[in-house]
Amino acid sequence: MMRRRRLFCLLAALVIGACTAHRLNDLDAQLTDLDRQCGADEQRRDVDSCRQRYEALAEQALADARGASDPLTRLAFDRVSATAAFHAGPLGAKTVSESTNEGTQLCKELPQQDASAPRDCALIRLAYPLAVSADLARSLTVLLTKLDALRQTNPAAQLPASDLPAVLSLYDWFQTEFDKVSWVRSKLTDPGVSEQLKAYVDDQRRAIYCWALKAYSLAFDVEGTTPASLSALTTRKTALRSRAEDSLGAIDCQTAPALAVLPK
Amino acid sequence: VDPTLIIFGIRALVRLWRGGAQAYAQYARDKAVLLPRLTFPPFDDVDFIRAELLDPQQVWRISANGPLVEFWSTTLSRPDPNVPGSAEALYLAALQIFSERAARESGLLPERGREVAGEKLIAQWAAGTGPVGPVGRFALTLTDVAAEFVGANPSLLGVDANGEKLIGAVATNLTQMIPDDAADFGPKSQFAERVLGIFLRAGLDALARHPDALVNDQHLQQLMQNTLPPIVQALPADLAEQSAWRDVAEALLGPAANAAVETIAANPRAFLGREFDPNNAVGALTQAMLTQASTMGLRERFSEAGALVLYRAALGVIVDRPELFAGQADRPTAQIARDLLATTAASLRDAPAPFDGDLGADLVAAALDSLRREGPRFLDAAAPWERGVAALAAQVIDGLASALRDPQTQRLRSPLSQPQLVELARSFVVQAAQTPGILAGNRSELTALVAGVAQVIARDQAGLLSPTDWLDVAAVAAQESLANPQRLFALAAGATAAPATALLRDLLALAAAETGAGGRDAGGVFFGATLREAMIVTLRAAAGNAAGAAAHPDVVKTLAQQLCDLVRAQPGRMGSKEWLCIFRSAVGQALDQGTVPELSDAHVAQILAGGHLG
Repeated sequence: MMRRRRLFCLLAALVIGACTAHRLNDLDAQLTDLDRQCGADEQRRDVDSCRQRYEALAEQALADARGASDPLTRLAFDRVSATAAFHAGPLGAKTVSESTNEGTQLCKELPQQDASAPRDCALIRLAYPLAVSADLARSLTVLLTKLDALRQTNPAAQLPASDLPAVLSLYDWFQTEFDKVSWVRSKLTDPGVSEQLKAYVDDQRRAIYCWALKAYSLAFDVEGTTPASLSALTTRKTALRSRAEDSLGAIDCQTAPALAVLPK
Repeated sequence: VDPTLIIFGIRALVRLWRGGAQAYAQYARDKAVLLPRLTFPPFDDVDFIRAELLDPQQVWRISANGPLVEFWSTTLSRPDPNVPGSAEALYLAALQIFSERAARESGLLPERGREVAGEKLIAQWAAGTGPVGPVGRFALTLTDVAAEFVGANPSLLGVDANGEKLIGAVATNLTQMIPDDAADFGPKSQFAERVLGIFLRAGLDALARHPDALVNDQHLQQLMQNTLPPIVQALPADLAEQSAWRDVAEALLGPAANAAVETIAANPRAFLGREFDPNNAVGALTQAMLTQASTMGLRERFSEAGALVLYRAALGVIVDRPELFAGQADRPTAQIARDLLATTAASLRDAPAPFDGDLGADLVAAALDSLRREGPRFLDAAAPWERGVAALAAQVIDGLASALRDPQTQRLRSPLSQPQLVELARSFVVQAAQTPGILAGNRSELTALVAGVAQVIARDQAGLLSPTDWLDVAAVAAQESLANPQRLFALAAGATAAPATALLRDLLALAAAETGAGGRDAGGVFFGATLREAMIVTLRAAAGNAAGAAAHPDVVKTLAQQLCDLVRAQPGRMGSKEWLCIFRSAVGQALDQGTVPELSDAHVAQILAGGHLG
């Protein structure tokens, strides 16, 4: 009798473990499907619907992470959650925060810390600053759209001076997020870290840097600004460029998108 | 069934399952996954320009007095939309700054950076889906022409290669080529592209022929600056005039640019360290030639060849006598160049054929060549030199016309062919240019000299002298006459012919009579070389005794007649050589004394033995 009970418990544990792995695999597949359906070009898709589906997936993955017993599997769920929440945009703000916080804590507790799961730890640490950067990019795009609209009637139109604080703030935030992502990149020194992951992180740094330059350029499209009045901004931009190009080489924001590595 | 066996079976299964589950879990965790990815911003050229040119170390380029300030709108902090090509010009600069930095960061030479920038630029402009702006179009033109040449002349490109210098010179000044209608791809813009291609092709062609020339790229830059933009800007607004201007540029600019670049390549020192910049003159001259050709119509007066002969000769003057083209406040370089060609065209307009076209231009070119060699000493110091050059040719032509013009056809008639006639005129021009002040004070000396010689030539209907002989006689006549002013061809009051003209005319008449009397069949020698030498000897003798020649106009003819008779009477003992020997010995005395010396057998024998008349 005793022997049968032990055998049952063992089988149950095995089934649950397999089920958890299957569940992780399934969520990853869903994430891939969602990405295929919604795509990177948000303009052509039903953005709200896509974001809701991403956020639903992110919440499921977070719940599964909290229910998983194996730390590495838990971390993988956190990674799926953070990634889905990133794609959910503003809807995923809370989830991305929770999944990255919990995942980051987990990475610290692993036997070899980040080196135990270098990719997932790196992605979890990156998810939040990338999500913030994506949000900043959306805010900047709103201003760019506004400027485009103004120029429909007057090609020489500029943004009203009242938009300048927002533009300058966006620049500062991009700079901050760039530095955060650069810090994560600086920790990817373990031999187990793939070169592809490093290249991927570098691409994200380039993207944030280019958004910062875009914000910088937009500042000159605000009424009343001059190179002199924006000299402090120029100084910060020059310093940012030095930091970026010291490790990334010269960055051409016009050709960088075409050179970015394909994410896997 | 043995339960133990079943339990062992289950254990085996669990073992397998556990391994599989662990492997599956690891697969699920580690498989390639979707990563969060940021999109890049829409980063247009203006963003790129601002990112580079507003940098504290680069902003000087678009600040006051900066080289690119004209393209920058300070109010919009972007390329000035009212300046065509501004976005491209600034983009070009930004790309160069970026690429050089990129090269530095990669440990490459800045040249490599520029190369990278060039590749990017061409790739962007060549493959761009949108309309290419003016700078882009110009750059593509440069690339096309350069590629065309480099295939056949690979050594043209490379470090310090002349072709690269020329392309660099043009590329550096590309923005200056952009006319104000470039944004709309207007007529000037289209014309500028065409002109650019013509200039570069011609320049490369010239440099390919001078692979070892040490060409200064600054000179090429200045040549380009001084030549092309003014030609583009001068494109008239009127459609018909535009067409004429285009035709002229198509026909003349290539050869002119070829000649100009060749001049720079062949005379590098001439363009160095001068107070006056000869490049300005080359540009002014090129534009003046095109303007002149356009004004009077291409091929109306000169063919392209005629215009280019003048142009090349004027280039020679720029190289050797640049001070002549040095502009002053009241007479800038451009005006000097214009006046030179306009005066030439005007002076040849009324000239008789064949001097009313290319042959006239040849003559003026000969005058310019003489000016280059001799300096302006033959000119009238009181008048602009460029008018004097045309006047020199005009005086020679006038002299020929007065003697050779057929009253009915108004064309020149002479035993000489047209090229020989030009050669004759050229010899007068060359000789005259060696004579100080020949044109000063409205002198007609040169015209009289030419007319006097031409009158004699015109009488030689029987061809007693070959054209070459006549050219020799004319050369001596010019030499002696110009060296001995107011003697040989000055018409005295009441006289119908100048002394030298009369002397030559009489000798020719005698030769004609001799021919009529049997000529060579009768043992006569007075034709061809003998006649030529007799004329030359007479001219030299008369030059030193003009009074005798004027006082005794028939004595030379008498002497010649007696010698003809003498030689004809003793064909076994005397011939042409003896005729000339005696004539040389006797003609001076004859002119001096007005009588023919005694030609006794003893005297003749003495002369032929190497002695002189006593």
